[in-house]
Amino acid sequence: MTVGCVPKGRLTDFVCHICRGRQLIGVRQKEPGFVEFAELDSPDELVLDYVSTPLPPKAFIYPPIETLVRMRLGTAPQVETVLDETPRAIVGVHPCDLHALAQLDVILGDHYGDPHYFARRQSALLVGVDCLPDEHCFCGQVGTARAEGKCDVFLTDVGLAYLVECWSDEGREAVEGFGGLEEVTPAVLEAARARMERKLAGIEPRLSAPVEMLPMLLDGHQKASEWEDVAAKCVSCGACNLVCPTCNCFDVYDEVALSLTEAERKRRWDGCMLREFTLVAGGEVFREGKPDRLRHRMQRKYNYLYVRYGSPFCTGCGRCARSCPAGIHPVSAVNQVTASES
Amino acid sequence: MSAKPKVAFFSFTGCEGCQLAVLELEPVLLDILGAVDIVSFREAMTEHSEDYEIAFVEGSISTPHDVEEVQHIRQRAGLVVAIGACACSGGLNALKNRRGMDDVLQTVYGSSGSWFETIPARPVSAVVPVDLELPGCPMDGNEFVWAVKSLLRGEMPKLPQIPVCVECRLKGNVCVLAHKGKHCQGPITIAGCGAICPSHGGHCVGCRGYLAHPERDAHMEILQEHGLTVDEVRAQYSLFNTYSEMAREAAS
Repeated sequence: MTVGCVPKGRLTDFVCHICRGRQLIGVRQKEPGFVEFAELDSPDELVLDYVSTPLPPKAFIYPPIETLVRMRLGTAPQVETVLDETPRAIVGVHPCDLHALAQLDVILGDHYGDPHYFARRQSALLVGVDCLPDEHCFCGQVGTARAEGKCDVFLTDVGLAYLVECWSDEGREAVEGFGGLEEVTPAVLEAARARMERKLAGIEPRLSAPVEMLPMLLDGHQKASEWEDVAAKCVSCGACNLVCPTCNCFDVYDEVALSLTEAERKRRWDGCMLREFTLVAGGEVFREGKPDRLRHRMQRKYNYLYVRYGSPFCTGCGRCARSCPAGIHPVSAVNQVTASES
Repeated sequence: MSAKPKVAFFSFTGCEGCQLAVLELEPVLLDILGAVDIVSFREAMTEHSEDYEIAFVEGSISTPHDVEEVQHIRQRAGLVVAIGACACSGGLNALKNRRGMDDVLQTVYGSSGSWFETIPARPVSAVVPVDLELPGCPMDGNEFVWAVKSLLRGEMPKLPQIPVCVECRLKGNVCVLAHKGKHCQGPITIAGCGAICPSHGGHCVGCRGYLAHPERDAHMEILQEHGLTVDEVRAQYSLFNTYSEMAREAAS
Protein backbone atom coordinates (compact mmCIF):
# COMPACT_ATOMS: atom_id res chain seq x y z
CA MET A 1 0.00 0.00 0.00
CA THR A 2 1.42 3.33 -1.10
CA VAL A 3 1.19 5.88 1.68
CA GLY A 4 3.12 8.90 0.50
CA CYS A 5 6.46 10.42 -0.33
CA VAL A 6 9.30 11.45 1.98
CA PRO A 7 11.36 14.35 0.66
CA LYS A 8 15.03 13.31 0.76
CA GLY A 9 15.78 16.22 3.08
CA ARG A 10 13.53 14.63 5.70
CA LEU A 11 14.80 11.08 5.34
CA THR A 12 16.70 11.11 8.64
CA ASP A 13 13.55 12.25 10.51
CA PHE A 14 11.56 9.56 8.76
CA VAL A 15 14.06 6.83 9.65
CA CYS A 16 14.14 8.05 13.26
CA HIS A 17 10.36 7.88 13.37
CA ILE A 18 9.83 4.44 11.92
CA CYS A 19 12.71 2.91 13.87
CA ARG A 20 11.73 4.37 17.24
CA GLY A 21 12.35 1.92 20.07
CA ARG A 22 14.41 -0.34 17.86
CA GLN A 23 18.08 -1.00 17.36
CA LEU A 24 18.94 0.63 14.04
CA ILE A 25 20.74 -1.57 11.54
CA GLY A 26 21.51 0.10 8.26
CA VAL A 27 23.99 0.51 5.45
CA ARG A 28 26.92 2.79 6.15
CA GLN A 29 30.27 3.63 4.65
CA LYS A 30 32.79 0.92 5.54
CA GLU A 31 35.91 2.14 3.76
CA PRO A 32 36.39 4.10 0.54
CA GLY A 33 34.35 2.40 -2.17
CA PHE A 34 32.60 -0.07 0.14
CA VAL A 35 29.52 -0.03 2.35
CA GLU A 36 28.29 -2.53 4.95
CA PHE A 37 25.29 -3.39 7.08
CA ALA A 38 26.07 -2.39 10.66
CA GLU A 39 24.43 -1.07 13.79
CA LEU A 40 24.30 2.67 13.16
CA ASP A 41 25.28 5.19 15.80
CA SER A 42 23.04 7.72 14.10
CA PRO A 43 20.55 7.64 11.20
CA ASP A 44 22.75 10.32 9.59
CA GLU A 45 25.18 7.53 8.71
CA LEU A 46 22.59 5.74 6.59
CA VAL A 47 23.46 5.21 2.93
CA LEU A 48 20.51 4.22 0.76
CA ASP A 49 22.09 4.68 -2.65
CA TYR A 50 24.41 1.69 -2.85
CA VAL A 51 24.92 -1.46 -4.90
CA SER A 52 26.00 -4.19 -2.53
CA THR A 53 27.56 -5.04 0.83
CA PRO A 54 30.21 -7.70 1.61
CA LEU A 55 27.77 -9.59 3.86
CA PRO A 56 24.01 -9.66 3.36
CA PRO A 57 21.61 -8.28 6.01
CA LYS A 58 21.03 -11.95 6.86
CA ALA A 59 23.97 -11.47 9.26
CA PHE A 60 21.64 -9.62 11.65
CA ILE A 61 18.96 -12.32 11.60
CA TYR A 62 21.29 -15.28 11.35
CA PRO A 63 24.68 -14.06 12.66
CA PRO A 64 27.98 -15.54 11.39
CA ILE A 65 28.65 -16.87 14.89
CA GLU A 66 25.98 -17.19 17.56
CA THR A 67 25.46 -18.85 20.92
CA LEU A 68 22.66 -21.42 20.80
CA VAL A 69 22.65 -22.56 24.42
CA ARG A 70 24.51 -21.79 27.62
CA MET A 71 25.40 -24.71 29.83
CA ARG A 72 26.38 -25.11 33.45
CA LEU A 73 28.33 -28.32 33.65
CA GLY A 74 28.60 -30.80 36.53
CA THR A 75 26.59 -33.64 37.97
CA ALA A 76 23.30 -31.81 37.38
CA PRO A 77 23.95 -29.91 34.13
CA GLN A 78 21.73 -26.97 33.31
CA VAL A 79 20.98 -25.86 29.79
CA GLU A 80 19.51 -22.52 28.82
CA THR A 81 18.43 -21.77 25.26
CA VAL A 82 19.63 -18.38 24.03
CA LEU A 83 17.08 -16.45 21.98
CA ASP A 84 17.74 -12.91 20.81
CA GLU A 85 14.48 -10.97 20.59
CA THR A 86 16.03 -7.51 20.45
CA PRO A 87 13.68 -5.31 18.41
CA ARG A 88 15.66 -4.24 15.36
CA ALA A 89 14.94 -2.21 12.29
CA ILE A 90 17.02 -3.25 9.30
CA VAL A 91 16.96 -0.36 6.89
CA GLY A 92 18.05 -0.29 3.27
CA VAL A 93 17.49 -3.91 2.29
CA HIS A 94 17.44 -4.52 -1.46
CA PRO A 95 14.78 -6.70 -3.08
CA CYS A 96 17.27 -9.54 -3.67
CA ASP A 97 18.07 -9.68 0.04
CA LEU A 98 14.38 -9.46 0.97
CA HIS A 99 13.70 -12.47 -1.24
CA ALA A 100 16.64 -14.23 0.37
CA LEU A 101 15.16 -13.76 3.85
CA ALA A 102 11.83 -15.06 2.58
CA GLN A 103 13.65 -18.15 1.28
CA LEU A 104 15.45 -18.61 4.60
CA ASP A 105 12.03 -18.44 6.30
CA VAL A 106 10.98 -21.39 4.17
CA ILE A 107 14.06 -23.56 4.56
CA LEU A 108 14.70 -22.80 8.24
CA GLY A 109 11.00 -23.25 8.95
CA ASP A 110 10.77 -26.57 7.16
CA HIS A 111 10.26 -29.68 9.38
CA TYR A 112 10.96 -27.67 12.49
CA GLY A 113 11.40 -23.96 13.03
CA ASP A 114 14.90 -22.79 13.87
CA PRO A 115 14.05 -20.91 17.09
CA HIS A 116 17.22 -18.80 17.07
CA TYR A 117 16.58 -17.59 13.53
CA PHE A 118 12.89 -16.92 14.03
CA ALA A 119 13.41 -15.08 17.34
CA ARG A 120 15.45 -12.44 15.49
CA ARG A 121 13.37 -12.61 12.34
CA GLN A 122 10.09 -11.95 14.10
CA SER A 123 11.61 -9.10 16.13
CA ALA A 124 12.90 -7.29 13.06
CA LEU A 125 11.23 -4.53 11.07
CA LEU A 126 12.45 -4.76 7.48
CA VAL A 127 12.72 -1.54 5.53
CA GLY A 128 13.54 -2.20 1.90
CA VAL A 129 14.86 0.15 -0.72
CA ASP A 130 15.04 -0.14 -4.47
CA CYS A 131 18.36 -0.14 -6.31
CA LEU A 132 20.21 -0.10 -9.60
CA PRO A 133 22.48 -2.98 -10.65
CA ASP A 134 26.22 -3.26 -11.20
CA GLU A 135 27.79 -5.65 -13.69
CA HIS A 136 27.40 -8.64 -11.31
CA CYS A 137 23.71 -8.25 -10.37
CA PHE A 138 21.19 -10.53 -12.08
CA CYS A 139 18.05 -10.34 -9.94
CA GLY A 140 15.97 -9.81 -13.07
CA GLN A 141 17.09 -13.24 -14.30
CA VAL A 142 15.89 -15.12 -11.21
CA GLY A 143 12.67 -13.26 -10.45
CA THR A 144 13.80 -11.18 -7.49
CA ALA A 145 14.03 -7.68 -8.98
CA ARG A 146 10.79 -6.59 -7.30
CA ALA A 147 10.37 -6.77 -3.54
CA GLU A 148 6.82 -8.15 -3.87
CA GLY A 149 5.74 -7.29 -0.37
CA LYS A 150 8.55 -9.17 1.36
CA CYS A 151 9.19 -6.39 3.88
CA ASP A 152 7.31 -4.06 6.21
CA VAL A 153 8.13 -0.75 4.53
CA PHE A 154 9.59 -0.22 1.07
CA LEU A 155 11.20 2.91 -0.32
CA THR A 156 11.68 3.77 -3.97
CA ASP A 157 13.96 6.58 -5.06
CA VAL A 158 11.86 8.90 -7.21
CA GLY A 159 14.31 11.77 -7.55
CA LEU A 160 13.80 14.39 -4.88
CA ALA A 161 11.89 12.03 -2.61
CA TYR A 162 11.34 8.40 -1.66
CA LEU A 163 8.02 6.78 -2.44
CA VAL A 164 6.87 4.96 0.73
CA GLU A 165 4.91 1.72 0.61
CA CYS A 166 3.72 -0.18 3.70
CA TRP A 167 3.27 -3.89 3.22
CA SER A 168 2.46 -5.10 6.73
CA ASP A 169 0.60 -3.99 9.84
CA GLU A 170 3.98 -3.47 11.55
CA GLY A 171 5.04 -1.27 8.65
CA ARG A 172 1.86 0.79 8.80
CA GLU A 173 2.20 1.24 12.55
CA ALA A 174 5.83 2.28 12.15
CA VAL A 175 5.02 4.94 9.56
CA GLU A 176 1.83 6.12 11.32
CA GLY A 177 2.14 9.53 12.90
CA PHE A 178 4.95 10.77 10.67
CA GLY A 179 3.89 14.24 9.69
CA GLY A 180 6.07 14.94 6.74
CA LEU A 181 4.62 12.66 4.04
CA GLU A 182 3.77 14.29 0.76
CA GLU A 183 1.11 13.26 -1.69
CA VAL A 184 1.82 10.61 -4.30
CA THR A 185 1.30 12.22 -7.69
CA PRO A 186 1.07 10.43 -11.04
CA ALA A 187 4.52 11.87 -11.80
CA VAL A 188 5.94 10.07 -8.75
CA LEU A 189 4.41 6.76 -9.79
CA GLU A 190 5.80 7.26 -13.28
CA ALA A 191 9.26 7.94 -11.82
CA ALA A 192 9.06 4.72 -9.79
CA ARG A 193 8.02 2.76 -12.86
CA ALA A 194 10.82 4.29 -14.93
CA ARG A 195 13.33 3.43 -12.23
CA MET A 196 12.32 -0.24 -12.27
CA GLU A 197 12.60 -0.21 -16.05
CA ARG A 198 16.10 1.25 -15.79
CA LYS A 199 17.05 -1.38 -13.23
CA LEU A 200 15.88 -4.29 -15.38
CA ALA A 201 17.55 -2.86 -18.47
CA GLY A 202 20.83 -2.47 -16.61
CA ILE A 203 21.21 -6.14 -15.72
CA GLU A 204 24.08 -7.62 -17.72
CA PRO A 205 24.55 -11.30 -16.81
CA ARG A 206 22.00 -13.30 -18.75
CA LEU A 207 21.08 -16.94 -18.28
CA SER A 208 21.05 -18.69 -21.66
CA ALA A 209 17.88 -20.53 -20.69
CA PRO A 210 14.91 -19.26 -18.66
CA VAL A 211 15.46 -19.92 -14.97
CA GLU A 212 12.45 -22.28 -14.95
CA MET A 213 14.38 -24.58 -17.27
CA LEU A 214 17.43 -24.86 -15.03
CA PRO A 215 16.33 -27.80 -12.86
CA MET A 216 15.71 -29.91 -15.94
CA LEU A 217 18.88 -28.75 -17.70
CA LEU A 218 21.08 -29.22 -14.65
CA ASP A 219 19.74 -32.72 -14.04
CA GLY A 220 21.70 -33.64 -17.13
CA HIS A 221 24.99 -32.38 -15.71
CA GLN A 222 25.56 -34.35 -12.55
CA LYS A 223 29.05 -35.59 -13.34
CA ALA A 224 31.81 -33.71 -11.54
CA SER A 225 33.92 -33.91 -14.71
CA GLU A 226 31.46 -31.61 -16.46
CA TRP A 227 32.25 -28.90 -13.92
CA GLU A 228 36.03 -29.13 -14.14
CA ASP A 229 36.48 -26.20 -16.52
CA VAL A 230 34.36 -23.72 -14.55
CA ALA A 231 35.96 -24.84 -11.27
CA ALA A 232 39.54 -24.76 -12.58
CA LYS A 233 40.47 -21.48 -10.92
CA CYS A 234 38.41 -22.00 -7.75
CA VAL A 235 40.62 -21.77 -4.65
CA SER A 236 38.00 -23.43 -2.38
CA CYS A 237 38.02 -20.40 -0.08
CA GLY A 238 34.30 -20.72 0.62
CA ALA A 239 33.67 -17.02 -0.02
CA CYS A 240 30.71 -17.75 -2.33
CA ASN A 241 28.98 -19.68 0.46
CA LEU A 242 29.84 -17.26 3.21
CA VAL A 243 28.62 -14.10 1.47
CA CYS A 244 25.50 -15.78 0.06
CA PRO A 245 22.20 -14.42 1.41
CA THR A 246 20.47 -17.81 1.13
CA CYS A 247 23.23 -20.17 2.27
CA ASN A 248 22.35 -21.47 5.71
CA CYS A 249 24.67 -24.36 6.54
CA PHE A 250 26.49 -24.17 9.84
CA ASP A 251 28.95 -25.98 12.07
CA VAL A 252 28.28 -26.50 15.78
CA TYR A 253 30.96 -26.44 18.44
CA ASP A 254 31.29 -25.97 22.19
CA GLU A 255 33.31 -23.32 24.00
CA VAL A 256 34.13 -24.27 27.56
CA ALA A 257 35.26 -21.71 30.14
CA LEU A 258 38.69 -22.15 31.71
CA SER A 259 36.92 -23.04 34.96
CA LEU A 260 35.48 -26.03 33.04
CA THR A 261 32.18 -25.44 34.84
CA GLU A 262 30.43 -23.39 32.16
CA ALA A 263 30.15 -23.73 28.41
CA GLU A 264 28.41 -22.30 25.39
CA ARG A 265 27.28 -24.25 22.36
CA LYS A 266 27.79 -22.09 19.30
CA ARG A 267 27.24 -22.28 15.60
CA ARG A 268 29.23 -20.73 12.82
CA TRP A 269 28.40 -20.40 9.14
CA ASP A 270 29.89 -23.20 7.09
CA GLY A 271 30.02 -23.78 3.36
CA CYS A 272 29.80 -26.69 0.94
CA MET A 273 32.72 -25.36 -1.13
CA LEU A 274 35.08 -26.10 1.77
CA ARG A 275 36.67 -29.53 1.64
CA GLU A 276 36.28 -30.07 5.38
CA PHE A 277 32.52 -29.51 5.06
CA THR A 278 32.30 -32.90 3.38
CA LEU A 279 34.66 -34.65 5.78
CA VAL A 280 32.72 -37.15 7.87
CA ALA A 281 33.46 -39.60 10.65
CA GLY A 282 35.97 -42.19 9.59
CA GLY A 283 37.86 -39.71 7.47
CA GLU A 284 35.72 -40.06 4.33
CA VAL A 285 35.36 -36.97 2.16
CA PHE A 286 32.27 -37.36 0.02
CA ARG A 287 32.96 -34.48 -2.37
CA GLU A 288 36.72 -34.56 -2.67
CA GLY A 289 37.33 -32.36 -5.71
CA LYS A 290 36.34 -28.74 -6.21
CA PRO A 291 34.45 -29.52 -9.47
CA ASP A 292 32.24 -31.86 -7.45
CA ARG A 293 31.73 -29.21 -4.77
CA LEU A 294 30.91 -26.49 -7.30
CA ARG A 295 28.53 -28.89 -9.07
CA HIS A 296 26.77 -29.50 -5.78
CA ARG A 297 26.53 -25.80 -4.93
CA MET A 298 25.04 -24.90 -8.31
CA GLN A 299 22.69 -27.88 -8.30
CA ARG A 300 21.47 -26.86 -4.88
CA LYS A 301 20.88 -23.24 -5.84
CA TYR A 302 19.21 -23.81 -9.23
CA ASN A 303 17.88 -27.34 -9.05
CA TYR A 304 17.45 -29.24 -5.76
CA LEU A 305 16.01 -26.46 -3.60
CA TYR A 306 14.18 -24.94 -6.57
CA VAL A 307 12.34 -28.21 -7.10
CA ARG A 308 11.73 -28.67 -3.40
CA TYR A 309 10.53 -25.18 -2.49
CA GLY A 310 9.37 -23.65 -5.76
CA SER A 311 11.92 -20.90 -6.30
CA PRO A 312 15.62 -20.83 -7.15
CA PHE A 313 17.76 -20.44 -4.03
CA CYS A 314 19.79 -17.72 -5.66
CA THR A 315 18.52 -14.16 -5.64
CA GLY A 316 20.98 -12.77 -8.18
CA CYS A 317 22.63 -10.45 -5.65
CA GLY A 318 26.03 -11.08 -7.26
CA ARG A 319 27.93 -11.23 -3.95
CA CYS A 320 29.54 -14.58 -4.76
CA ALA A 321 30.85 -13.22 -8.04
CA ARG A 322 32.09 -10.00 -6.45
CA SER A 323 33.98 -11.77 -3.69
CA CYS A 324 35.35 -14.67 -5.74
CA PRO A 325 39.15 -14.36 -6.06
CA ALA A 326 38.88 -16.49 -9.20
CA GLY A 327 36.14 -14.33 -10.71
CA ILE A 328 33.67 -17.20 -11.11
CA HIS A 329 30.18 -15.89 -11.88
CA PRO A 330 27.30 -18.30 -11.30
CA VAL A 331 25.51 -17.23 -14.47
CA SER A 332 28.60 -17.90 -16.59
CA ALA A 333 29.16 -21.21 -14.80
CA VAL A 334 25.60 -22.40 -15.34
CA ASN A 335 25.58 -21.19 -18.96
CA GLN A 336 28.87 -22.90 -19.71
CA VAL A 337 27.90 -26.23 -18.17
CA THR A 338 24.37 -26.38 -19.56
CA ALA A 339 25.67 -25.49 -23.02
CA SER A 340 27.97 -28.51 -23.01
CA GLU A 341 26.78 -31.96 -23.99
CA SER A 342 25.92 -34.10 -21.01
CA MET B 1 46.62 -36.09 33.85
CA SER B 2 46.49 -34.63 37.36
CA ALA B 3 43.97 -31.96 38.32
CA LYS B 4 46.56 -29.24 37.77
CA PRO B 5 49.03 -30.33 35.13
CA LYS B 6 52.63 -29.15 35.24
CA VAL B 7 53.45 -27.10 32.21
CA ALA B 8 56.76 -25.85 30.84
CA PHE B 9 57.63 -23.42 28.07
CA PHE B 10 60.79 -23.84 25.99
CA SER B 11 62.33 -21.64 23.40
CA PHE B 12 64.57 -22.47 20.46
CA THR B 13 65.46 -20.32 17.47
CA GLY B 14 62.96 -17.49 17.34
CA CYS B 15 62.07 -14.12 18.80
CA GLU B 16 60.24 -15.47 21.89
CA GLY B 17 57.18 -13.59 20.65
CA CYS B 18 55.01 -16.66 21.26
CA GLN B 19 55.92 -16.64 24.95
CA LEU B 20 55.00 -12.95 24.92
CA ALA B 21 51.68 -13.88 23.29
CA VAL B 22 50.97 -15.98 26.40
CA LEU B 23 51.94 -13.13 28.72
CA GLU B 24 49.69 -10.80 26.74
CA LEU B 25 46.65 -12.86 27.70
CA GLU B 26 46.17 -10.64 30.76
CA PRO B 27 42.36 -10.96 30.96
CA VAL B 28 42.61 -14.75 31.40
CA LEU B 29 46.18 -15.16 32.62
CA LEU B 30 45.14 -15.67 36.25
CA ASP B 31 42.55 -18.22 35.17
CA ILE B 32 45.27 -20.08 33.26
CA LEU B 33 47.54 -19.99 36.29
CA GLY B 34 44.64 -21.36 38.31
CA ALA B 35 44.25 -24.26 35.91
CA VAL B 36 47.88 -25.25 35.29
CA ASP B 37 51.12 -25.22 37.24
CA ILE B 38 53.82 -23.47 35.21
CA VAL B 39 57.20 -24.89 36.19
CA SER B 40 59.41 -23.34 33.52
CA PHE B 41 58.95 -20.18 31.47
CA ARG B 42 62.11 -18.29 30.58
CA GLU B 43 60.35 -15.14 29.43
CA ALA B 44 58.51 -14.78 32.74
CA MET B 45 60.29 -16.58 35.59
CA THR B 46 63.72 -17.68 36.78
CA GLU B 47 62.71 -20.99 38.37
CA HIS B 48 63.01 -24.13 36.30
CA SER B 49 61.91 -27.66 36.91
CA GLU B 50 62.51 -30.81 34.92
CA ASP B 51 59.18 -32.24 36.07
CA TYR B 52 56.47 -31.34 33.55
CA GLU B 53 53.66 -33.04 31.67
CA ILE B 54 53.00 -30.57 28.87
CA ALA B 55 55.87 -28.88 27.03
CA PHE B 56 55.04 -25.85 24.91
CA VAL B 57 57.91 -25.42 22.49
CA GLU B 58 58.52 -22.28 20.45
CA GLY B 59 61.25 -21.64 17.91
CA SER B 60 62.72 -23.71 15.11
CA ILE B 61 65.45 -26.29 15.54
CA SER B 62 68.58 -24.84 13.97
CA THR B 63 71.63 -26.09 15.89
CA PRO B 64 72.87 -29.54 16.89
CA HIS B 65 72.36 -28.44 20.50
CA ASP B 66 68.69 -27.64 19.74
CA VAL B 67 68.27 -31.19 18.45
CA GLU B 68 69.61 -32.72 21.67
CA GLU B 69 67.58 -30.44 23.87
CA VAL B 70 64.26 -30.99 22.10
CA GLN B 71 64.87 -34.74 22.23
CA HIS B 72 65.40 -34.40 25.98
CA ILE B 73 62.13 -32.47 26.29
CA ARG B 74 60.30 -35.10 24.27
CA GLN B 75 61.51 -37.81 26.64
CA ARG B 76 60.29 -35.98 29.72
CA ALA B 77 56.99 -34.52 28.47
CA GLY B 78 53.76 -36.43 28.09
CA LEU B 79 52.61 -33.93 25.49
CA VAL B 80 54.72 -31.75 23.22
CA VAL B 81 52.90 -28.76 21.77
CA ALA B 82 54.72 -26.72 19.13
CA ILE B 83 53.73 -23.06 19.30
CA GLY B 84 54.25 -20.47 16.61
CA ALA B 85 55.42 -20.50 13.02
CA CYS B 86 59.07 -21.28 13.81
CA ALA B 87 58.22 -24.40 15.80
CA CYS B 88 55.42 -25.56 13.50
CA SER B 89 56.83 -24.91 10.05
CA GLY B 90 60.41 -23.68 10.52
CA GLY B 91 59.16 -20.15 10.03
CA LEU B 92 61.28 -17.24 8.87
CA ASN B 93 64.44 -18.96 10.10
CA ALA B 94 64.17 -21.50 7.31
CA LEU B 95 64.80 -18.71 4.77
CA LYS B 96 68.48 -19.46 5.35
CA ASN B 97 68.01 -23.05 4.22
CA ARG B 98 68.36 -22.09 0.57
CA ARG B 99 71.92 -20.94 1.24
CA GLY B 100 74.94 -22.93 2.34
CA MET B 101 75.38 -23.04 6.11
CA ASP B 102 78.99 -21.75 5.81
CA ASP B 103 77.71 -18.82 3.80
CA VAL B 104 75.06 -18.13 6.46
CA LEU B 105 77.63 -18.22 9.28
CA GLN B 106 79.94 -15.92 7.35
CA THR B 107 77.09 -13.43 6.71
CA VAL B 108 76.00 -13.32 10.36
CA TYR B 109 79.27 -13.73 12.25
CA GLY B 110 81.93 -12.78 9.71
CA SER B 111 85.33 -14.22 10.45
CA SER B 112 84.05 -15.63 13.76
CA GLY B 113 81.61 -17.90 11.90
CA SER B 114 83.68 -20.98 12.61
CA TRP B 115 82.96 -20.58 16.35
CA PHE B 116 79.32 -21.56 15.81
CA GLU B 117 77.46 -24.58 14.56
CA THR B 118 74.28 -24.24 12.54
CA ILE B 119 72.05 -26.63 10.60
CA PRO B 120 69.16 -25.90 8.24
CA ALA B 121 66.23 -24.65 10.36
CA ARG B 122 63.41 -27.14 10.76
CA PRO B 123 60.11 -27.46 12.59
CA VAL B 124 60.04 -29.37 15.87
CA SER B 125 58.09 -32.16 14.18
CA ALA B 126 61.06 -32.81 11.89
CA VAL B 127 63.09 -33.88 14.94
CA VAL B 128 60.66 -35.40 17.45
CA PRO B 129 56.99 -36.43 17.36
CA VAL B 130 54.73 -33.48 18.13
CA ASP B 131 51.26 -33.96 19.60
CA LEU B 132 49.80 -30.61 18.64
CA GLU B 133 50.81 -27.58 16.58
CA LEU B 134 49.50 -24.07 17.25
CA PRO B 135 50.92 -22.13 14.31
CA GLY B 136 51.18 -18.43 13.52
CA CYS B 137 53.64 -15.59 13.85
CA PRO B 138 53.08 -15.12 16.66
CA MET B 139 50.85 -17.92 17.88
CA ASP B 140 47.27 -16.73 18.35
CA GLY B 141 46.56 -16.19 22.06
CA ASN B 142 42.90 -17.12 21.77
CA GLU B 143 43.77 -20.32 19.98
CA PHE B 144 46.29 -21.11 22.72
CA VAL B 145 43.61 -20.68 25.40
CA TRP B 146 41.20 -22.81 23.37
CA ALA B 147 43.84 -25.53 23.09
CA VAL B 148 44.67 -25.39 26.81
CA LYS B 149 40.99 -25.77 27.67
CA SER B 150 40.70 -28.81 25.41
CA LEU B 151 43.81 -30.38 26.94
CA LEU B 152 42.45 -29.74 30.45
CA ARG B 153 39.35 -31.70 29.50
CA GLY B 154 41.56 -34.49 28.23
CA GLU B 155 40.73 -33.84 24.59
CA MET B 156 43.25 -33.30 21.82
CA PRO B 157 42.22 -30.12 20.03
CA LYS B 158 41.89 -30.36 16.29
CA LEU B 159 42.45 -27.27 14.19
CA PRO B 160 39.82 -26.99 11.46
CA GLN B 161 41.33 -27.43 7.99
CA ILE B 162 39.65 -24.31 6.66
CA PRO B 163 41.30 -21.33 4.98
CA VAL B 164 41.84 -17.91 6.56
CA CYS B 165 39.22 -16.65 4.05
CA VAL B 166 36.47 -18.21 6.15
CA GLU B 167 37.27 -16.06 9.17
CA CYS B 168 37.81 -13.06 6.91
CA ARG B 169 34.41 -13.41 5.21
CA LEU B 170 32.67 -14.03 8.55
CA LYS B 171 34.06 -10.70 9.72
CA GLY B 172 32.50 -8.97 6.73
CA ASN B 173 35.87 -7.83 5.41
CA VAL B 174 36.26 -6.75 1.82
CA CYS B 175 38.37 -9.43 0.08
CA VAL B 176 41.82 -7.92 -0.41
CA LEU B 177 42.68 -10.54 -3.04
CA ALA B 178 39.53 -10.08 -5.12
CA HIS B 179 39.16 -6.31 -4.67
CA LYS B 180 42.44 -4.71 -3.69
CA GLY B 181 44.98 -6.53 -5.77
CA LYS B 182 46.90 -7.68 -2.70
CA HIS B 183 48.78 -10.96 -2.93
CA CYS B 184 46.83 -12.53 -0.12
CA GLN B 185 47.62 -16.14 0.84
CA GLY B 186 44.38 -16.52 2.78
CA PRO B 187 42.85 -19.12 0.45
CA ILE B 188 45.65 -21.64 1.05
CA THR B 189 46.55 -20.78 4.65
CA ILE B 190 45.05 -22.56 7.63
CA ALA B 191 42.60 -20.44 9.67
CA GLY B 192 42.66 -19.77 13.39
CA CYS B 193 44.09 -16.25 13.59
CA GLY B 194 40.74 -14.52 13.06
CA ALA B 195 42.12 -13.19 9.76
CA ILE B 196 43.98 -10.61 11.78
CA CYS B 197 46.17 -9.23 8.95
CA PRO B 198 43.46 -8.69 6.30
CA SER B 199 41.27 -7.23 9.06
CA HIS B 200 43.83 -4.51 9.74
CA GLY B 201 44.79 -3.32 6.30
CA GLY B 202 47.26 -6.07 5.48
CA HIS B 203 47.02 -9.38 3.70
CA CYS B 204 47.73 -12.97 4.67
CA VAL B 205 51.39 -13.95 4.30
CA GLY B 206 50.87 -17.60 5.19
CA CYS B 207 52.46 -17.53 8.64
CA ARG B 208 50.14 -20.27 9.89
CA GLY B 209 51.27 -22.68 7.21
CA TYR B 210 49.25 -24.19 4.40
CA LEU B 211 46.17 -26.37 4.39
CA ALA B 212 46.64 -30.10 3.99
CA HIS B 213 44.83 -29.82 0.65
CA PRO B 214 45.54 -26.30 -0.64
CA GLU B 215 44.30 -25.20 -4.06
CA ARG B 216 47.81 -24.11 -4.77
CA ASP B 217 47.78 -24.19 -8.57
CA ALA B 218 44.63 -22.08 -8.75
CA HIS B 219 45.98 -19.63 -6.19
CA MET B 220 49.24 -19.38 -8.10
CA GLU B 221 47.33 -18.69 -11.32
CA ILE B 222 45.36 -15.90 -9.65
CA LEU B 223 48.53 -14.27 -8.29
CA GLN B 224 50.04 -14.46 -11.77
CA GLU B 225 46.96 -12.67 -13.12
CA HIS B 226 47.70 -10.04 -10.49
CA GLY B 227 51.04 -9.52 -12.18
CA LEU B 228 53.45 -11.75 -10.28
CA THR B 229 55.87 -14.08 -12.01
CA VAL B 230 56.05 -17.73 -10.93
CA ASP B 231 59.30 -16.98 -9.11
CA GLU B 232 57.73 -14.04 -7.32
CA VAL B 233 54.82 -16.22 -6.19
CA ARG B 234 57.26 -18.84 -4.93
CA ALA B 235 59.18 -16.15 -3.08
CA GLN B 236 55.95 -15.15 -1.34
CA TYR B 237 55.21 -18.76 -0.43
CA SER B 238 58.74 -19.07 0.92
CA LEU B 239 58.49 -16.23 3.41
CA PHE B 240 57.15 -18.42 6.21
CA ASN B 241 57.12 -21.76 4.48
CA THR B 242 60.58 -22.32 2.99
CA TYR B 243 60.92 -25.61 4.83
CA SER B 244 57.76 -27.13 3.32
CA GLU B 245 58.41 -25.46 -0.05
CA MET B 246 61.87 -27.05 -0.25
CA ALA B 247 60.43 -30.42 0.76
CA ARG B 248 57.86 -30.00 -1.98
CA GLU B 249 60.49 -29.07 -4.55
CA ALA B 250 62.61 -32.05 -3.55
CA ALA B 251 59.64 -34.40 -3.95
CA SER B 252 58.65 -33.12 -7.39
